[in-house]
Amino acid sequence: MLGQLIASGLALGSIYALLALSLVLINKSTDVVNFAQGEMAMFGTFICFALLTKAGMPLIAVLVLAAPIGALLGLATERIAIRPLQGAPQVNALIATIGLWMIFHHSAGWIWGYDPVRFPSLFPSDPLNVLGARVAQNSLGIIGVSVLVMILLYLFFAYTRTGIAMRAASMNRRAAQLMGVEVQKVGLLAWALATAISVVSGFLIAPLTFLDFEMMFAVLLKAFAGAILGGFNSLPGAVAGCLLVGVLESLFAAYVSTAFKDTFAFCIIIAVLMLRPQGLFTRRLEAKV
Amino acid sequence: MSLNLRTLCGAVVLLFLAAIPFGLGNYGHYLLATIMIYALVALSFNVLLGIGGQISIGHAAFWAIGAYACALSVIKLGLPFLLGVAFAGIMTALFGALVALPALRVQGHYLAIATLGFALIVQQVLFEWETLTGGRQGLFVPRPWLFGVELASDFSYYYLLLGIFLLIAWITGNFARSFTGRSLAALRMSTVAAECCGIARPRHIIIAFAMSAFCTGISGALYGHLLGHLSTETFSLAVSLSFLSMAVIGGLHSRAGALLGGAYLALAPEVLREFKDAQMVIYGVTLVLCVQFLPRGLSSLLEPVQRAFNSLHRRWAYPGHPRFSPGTQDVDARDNPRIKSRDAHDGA
Amino acid sequence: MALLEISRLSLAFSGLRALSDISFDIAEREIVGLIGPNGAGKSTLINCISGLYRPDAGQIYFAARDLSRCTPHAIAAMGVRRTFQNLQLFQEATVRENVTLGLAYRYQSNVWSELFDVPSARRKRTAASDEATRILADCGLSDVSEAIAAKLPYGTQKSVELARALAGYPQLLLLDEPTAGMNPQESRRVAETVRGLRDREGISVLLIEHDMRVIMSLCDRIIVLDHGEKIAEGSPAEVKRAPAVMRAYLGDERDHA
Repeated sequence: MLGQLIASGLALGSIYALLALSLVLINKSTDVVNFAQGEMAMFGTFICFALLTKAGMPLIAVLVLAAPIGALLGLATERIAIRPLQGAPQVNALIATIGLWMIFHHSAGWIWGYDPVRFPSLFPSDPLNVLGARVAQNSLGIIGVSVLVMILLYLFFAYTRTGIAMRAASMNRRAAQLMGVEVQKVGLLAWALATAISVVSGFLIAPLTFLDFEMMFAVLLKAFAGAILGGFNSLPGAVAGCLLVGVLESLFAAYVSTAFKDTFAFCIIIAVLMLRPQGLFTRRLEAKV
Repeated sequence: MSLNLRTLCGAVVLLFLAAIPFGLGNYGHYLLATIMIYALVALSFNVLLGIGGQISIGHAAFWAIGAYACALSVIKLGLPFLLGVAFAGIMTALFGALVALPALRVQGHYLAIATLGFALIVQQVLFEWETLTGGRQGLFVPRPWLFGVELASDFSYYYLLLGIFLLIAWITGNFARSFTGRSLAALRMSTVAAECCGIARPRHIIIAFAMSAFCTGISGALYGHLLGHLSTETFSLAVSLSFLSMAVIGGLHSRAGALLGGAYLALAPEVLREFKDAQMVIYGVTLVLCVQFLPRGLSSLLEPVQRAFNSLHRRWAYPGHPRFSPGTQDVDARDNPRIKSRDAHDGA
Repeated sequence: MALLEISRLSLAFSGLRALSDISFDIAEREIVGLIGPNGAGKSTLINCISGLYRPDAGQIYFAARDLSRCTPHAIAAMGVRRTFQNLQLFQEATVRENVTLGLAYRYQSNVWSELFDVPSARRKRTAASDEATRILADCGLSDVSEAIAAKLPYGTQKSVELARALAGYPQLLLLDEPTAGMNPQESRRVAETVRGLRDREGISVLLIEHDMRVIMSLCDRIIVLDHGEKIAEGSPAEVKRAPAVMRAYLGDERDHA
């Protein structure tokens, strides 16, 4: 029983982890937190769904298109709503992403309606037996993809020129510019990449949760909880944090109360922010004066 | 004694606000009352975000706490209306001070998340606590009684709301010009420098949150009595986001901004009636555009007008004065040495 | 009894030793210079004294209190004020407001009296305003008092920051590269101001500087840091001759001599 709960928790946590990776990616590169990340994922997934149903495209073809669709969405958003706010106080960018949240969340409902729809899965539906617990193949797919994306992003940031340049740009924009980093492109690249990952995530998540405009709302909050728990600038930390949140949520729902399981996640957020704002896995950063 | 043009403008606006209900019908009175209620919330954002630079996307929770605290104290404890409103404000202020604690540790997006978490917890608790909030039926709130007179109509209620708005606007204006308020602004401009000037961050952040919560709590209390009915669904995330939007769009630095924000939030659903589904989308678009093109909000459109008035007034009142002749720097100087910083701006 | 006693101060950032076992005193009415190559730990030391960093070990005694356990605002209230290497002015505010904020903490009263604008609150504001006017005049900033800080030339901004620090009537002033980015004339003026502060007001100064002319002419004593360690301490003449200093600074002396 406990094993099953933990397995479900990990499956749940990996959903949060996929979204958290996008959040951390944008934050690592541009020092902006995109509140609308989940909604953009959902919006992009709806576009994929439209291609499936209206255009009648096969699932694999739409899967291939998912990342480019996400990339375009991210590019357009960054260019129109975020780039013009360079140089303004940080709070403005935050408010802009809140505005984007409102736009994507409600326009999805407006365009495609409010009823949840079935989204086909890439995986066969019979669950597998892993170490005594039954896990849906789709969930295993999600876990696999999140770990893969995390590894790729980690290597990207640590070892490629572009990745290092992006980290530099987020830490000190002007210094990075003086070093020859094209900071404009950094923002574009970060948003394009992050949204591409998000839409693919949506593609994987929708079969489990049904596709509707509320799909990503709770996921975003739990992704935040996990990212904060793991230390917002750390990719592996965010994944670990999210898996932990998933497991804790699963256990809490089973042993304490299902009604308050969302509340539990928010309590985690607040507790971590109060006690150890830098997360469990990162060291304290002092601001240099 | 020279006539202060600014006071004159203020008087004109006040007269307008007092007279306007006479030209409108019942529904218009209801809308005016709603504008005042939202404007109170906008004032709370003026303090917290405008002066203090602290972001909150959970203000619906304060609104809820205020609404239920007042309604329940009137219904269950039999408190007179105004006392119930005051009680609601104080209760909410205490919660505000509580929410300030995470704010002392984190800033920016982390704080936004913490406030969001707080709001969702409050909403969940109220939803589950059916004996308190009436469950699916909700809570019915009686019309307010003031000094033995029932304010049965929205017409009369509006004047009470206008009075309360002016009182709170006066208080928040005093705050902006006070040492505490200016120190709070200093903390926003440069936390490190302010602390090294002897300004204690914890005290000021807690005061900012408590004040902001107080204003929103009062607004919630008054809203409950306007609507006559409370249900936990009213206090959702969408409401928190609408509050933030309207405060930013109206302008975070003046009373005029608060009124404009309140008017925006109250009237937009009317104007956008055909676009019912797209309302929130339009709010979002307006917010994104506003933050880009009009970061100081709609009230910033009034600033050039104000400056022109000030300049005209000085030239009229002090003809030939070297400092105020045309061509000199447009300086906000007065006879009174009470000179404020630019952002502690008590608007029109 | 020295005004400031630093005893075995150490601080490390993620394994990098920023300060190692630093000890020295500052007496009353003394101007002490703090020099060393970039990255030596000078700003870190000032950040520790003003409370922005908490040291890993050691004590900082000022007026019989250990500053290393105090918050920055408490330290400022005790009489230790500072300026910043990368200017931390209240950019949106006027020069007058910057200075007034420098003395605001002394006028902090009951919030309630401020919220209702009672006469006592108004009197305090007027008193503070008068005091700010005096300070602005003393610092030669009366002409620009209504200008927005962000719009002023660099040198004037530095003067504003100094005026703001002085508004607290400090006993100890920590200046982090006050003449950075200035021409020789401006630097000399800053040096004269600092000397005047010591002579007339009795303020002690700890001064981080790279301009050797200013350091040599102004300081009673000089402390030299390198890689977080104190490598020399003494009068300007002594320090100039110390071999350790020559080694640390090889190359710089030629530029500034």
